[in-house]
Order: sequence, then C-alpha cells, then structure tokens
Amino acid sequence: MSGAASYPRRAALRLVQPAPVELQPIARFCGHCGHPPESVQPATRVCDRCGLGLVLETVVEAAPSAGAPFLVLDTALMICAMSAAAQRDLAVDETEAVHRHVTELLVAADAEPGTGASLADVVVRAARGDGDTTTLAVRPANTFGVFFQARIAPCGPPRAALVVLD
Amino acid sequence: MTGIRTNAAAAMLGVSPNTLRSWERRFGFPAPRRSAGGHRQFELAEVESLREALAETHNVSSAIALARARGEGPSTPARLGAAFGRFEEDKACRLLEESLAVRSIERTIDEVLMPAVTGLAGEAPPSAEYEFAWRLATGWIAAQRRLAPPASRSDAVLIFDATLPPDIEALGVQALELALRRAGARTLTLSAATDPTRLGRVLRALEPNALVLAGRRAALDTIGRLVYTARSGGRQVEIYDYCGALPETGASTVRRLDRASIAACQMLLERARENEFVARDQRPRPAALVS
Repeated sequence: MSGAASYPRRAALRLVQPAPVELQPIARFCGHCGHPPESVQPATRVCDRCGLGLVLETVVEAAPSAGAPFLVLDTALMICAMSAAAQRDLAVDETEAVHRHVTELLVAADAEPGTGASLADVVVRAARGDGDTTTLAVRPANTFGVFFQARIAPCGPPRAALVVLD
Repeated sequence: MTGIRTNAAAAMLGVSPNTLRSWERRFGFPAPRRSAGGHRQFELAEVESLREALAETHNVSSAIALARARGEGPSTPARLGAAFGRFEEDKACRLLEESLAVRSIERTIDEVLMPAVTGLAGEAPPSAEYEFAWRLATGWIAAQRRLAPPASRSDAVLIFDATLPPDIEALGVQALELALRRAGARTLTLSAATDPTRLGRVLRALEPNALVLAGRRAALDTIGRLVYTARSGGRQVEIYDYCGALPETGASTVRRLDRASIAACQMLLERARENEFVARDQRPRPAALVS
C-alpha cells in the first residue's frame, strides 16, 4: 500500500480573534429630571429623586446634565420620553408628546439639505444602538430663528435614541 | 379579590409608598379601592402589569398607559370602579362583557360589579359617580334578567323589597332575584309597601316556599303584617332576612342570607330541597291493599 493518500489543498478554517472592543464609560440619568440616580446600584428603574422618570443609560459624552432638555426616540422616530426641561422649552406636555412623531416637535435646521446625515438617519442609527455620538442642528417645528445643537446617541434600556438639546 | 396594601405594592414596583401615591394622584393608576378602614387596596394584577410595563418603556407615563391598555387579567372591581369614576359608560360595559368571558354572570356581579359600585358608595348625599354606577348596574342586571331561562324548579321565592333607589342594597336584591331566576326558581319581587290585604292572589299563584325580607327601610310592623299574610292559611313558608331587614337582636329565628347573591341563592335552594325531603317523609303513606 502506498503512503497516505494526498488530498487536494484547500483553505483551512481558523479561529479569528475579535478585535478588542473599547468599553465606553456609561452614565445613568433619569428620563424626566435628568439627574443620575442617588443609589449606585438602584434596585429599580424608577428615579428615586423625582419618581416620575425611569433611569436610562448612555455614553458619558452624550449624557445630559441635570435639568437639561432632551428627548428619547425609538426607531420609528416616535417620542418615547421627554425631560421636564424639554417639555418647558418645547411648550408641550409629555403625555401629549409621547407616541407622536419627532418631526411634529423638532426638525433639522440645516439650511442646505443633503449636507450630511439627516436627522432621521442619525436618530434611527442611534436607536438601533449603532453609531457614535453625533451633533446636529435642530429647531422646533413651525418655529424659525430658534436653534438647538442636538447631541444624538444610543441609550436604553430598551434601546432608543437620546437627543439632548444644548 | 387579590388586594395588596400600599407598602407591598410599592415594594413590588421598587418605589416608595409616597411615589406610588403620587402616581395615583397624577395618573389615576394604579387605582386602588379602599378597605373598610380606609386603607388602599391595590389589585395585584394591575401592579404586576405596571411592573412589566416599567421594564418595557422609557418613562412612567408610558408605562402606565401601556399597563392600562393591556388590561392584564380579567376585569377587576378597581378598573370598573375607575371607569365609573370617569363616567365612561362604554368602557364599563366592555369591562363587564370581558368579565363574562372568564366568570359566570353571578360571579361577575358578586366579584366585580357589586364591589365596584360599593366602592363608590358611602357619601350622603350620594355622589354623581355612585349614581351613575348604580343606574348602569341596574340596567345591566335588568338586561341579564330578560335573558334568564324560564323557571324549571318547583321552588318559589317571594321577595319583599324594602329598599329604595339608589340604595346599594337595592342592587343586592336585583342580583339575588337574577341568581334565583337563573337557577330556575320562580321568583317574584314586590315592594314592602304592598298592601298585605291584597296579597291573596299573589300567594295562590306563586305558592312560595320562601319569603325573603330585603332592605332596611320597612318598619317592623309592616314586615310583621307581610309575614303573617304570607303564612296565613297554613302555608309553610320559611322566612329569610337579606341585607339587614331585621335588627340584630341575637334572638331572631329568621335565617340571615349571605350578602353575596350566589351564596344567598344557594342557601335558599338547599333549604327548599331539605324542606321538600322532610315534607315527603312526613306525608301519610297509603294503607296497604288487602286482597
């Protein structure tokens, strides 16, 4: 018997080590008052300061400051939550704004459309958990001359987009 | 009914009791009923529904709206009471219909409708919410009565109703009558103000074996005349007290019926069956024929 049969050469499979993921520091904040929770390890999602918001998480660079105006949007661009400051600045109550499309309250303020990612694209990417923190100029719908610099980043749980109006 | 106190409900939701009470004031949910001592009693199903919704939403108001919309579990007295409190007739009717999917008509009345209306009672004069609830409940029970099958038993119950609208006991009387009719008994309800001298035809037609004195608005001598007339002519009629018709003296031989219509109806029919057996045993046997 001759030696071992020779097999045709073919590509070999080998385990590829994933690229190391840089863990970004996370910040917690209340979806109503914007304050971080008092307890380091809160037992509940309900804010222990105001009792009217749920504790959400986002990357530190996108986290709103206490009392800042911000909104939380889902992948359908529907408003899921509004901070007390955003309700004041946009003159709408949260119970009236929730489940409405964001364009009823905010629209992109870029003078020349097509000069970058649209508000909808950025929000949808963030709501899916993709993308870094992006800054866009927005304005209240049907209002001219008032602008906000919106910081848009992923947040959750559940997964959503955080839009902080600076 | 699965009611839990404020501290337990707050612990389940992971919030302070003050936060839970502030949600009740601000959003009207969860909507507790009050115990006899005035303590809040939250429906366990509502608290569990809210706890799940808090994990799925981004803010408290959305969680509450979600928990409300889902309507976890069968209709509860708290949800029906909340609909009464907001004068939402369509929602109240829908909750009663939903209850029928998992409960019998009698249990819907005893476990959902009566507690919901009772929860609104207590003020004098009655509040608008209570009157609305009472009238809707009366109409609903009347509609069920029209659908009750014809009598199929020989048992006959005569109810003397000493209540007035909108007494909560008046609803109890309507519920008892409905339960008896649905059980197949022949039932007739008359006002306690009926002239006792004109009851002859009624008694001959109905031949009641049970007389229920309901409500507390009739004077004792009025009750006495009615009972005397019903038992005249040697009729064997057992007397029952429903919803406090007779004062608590400790010496009464009149049986007191349970407030719940199901239990009251069961007691009436069981006693009627026992009395029937006794009467049959006491009947003189025919003499043997001697050939």
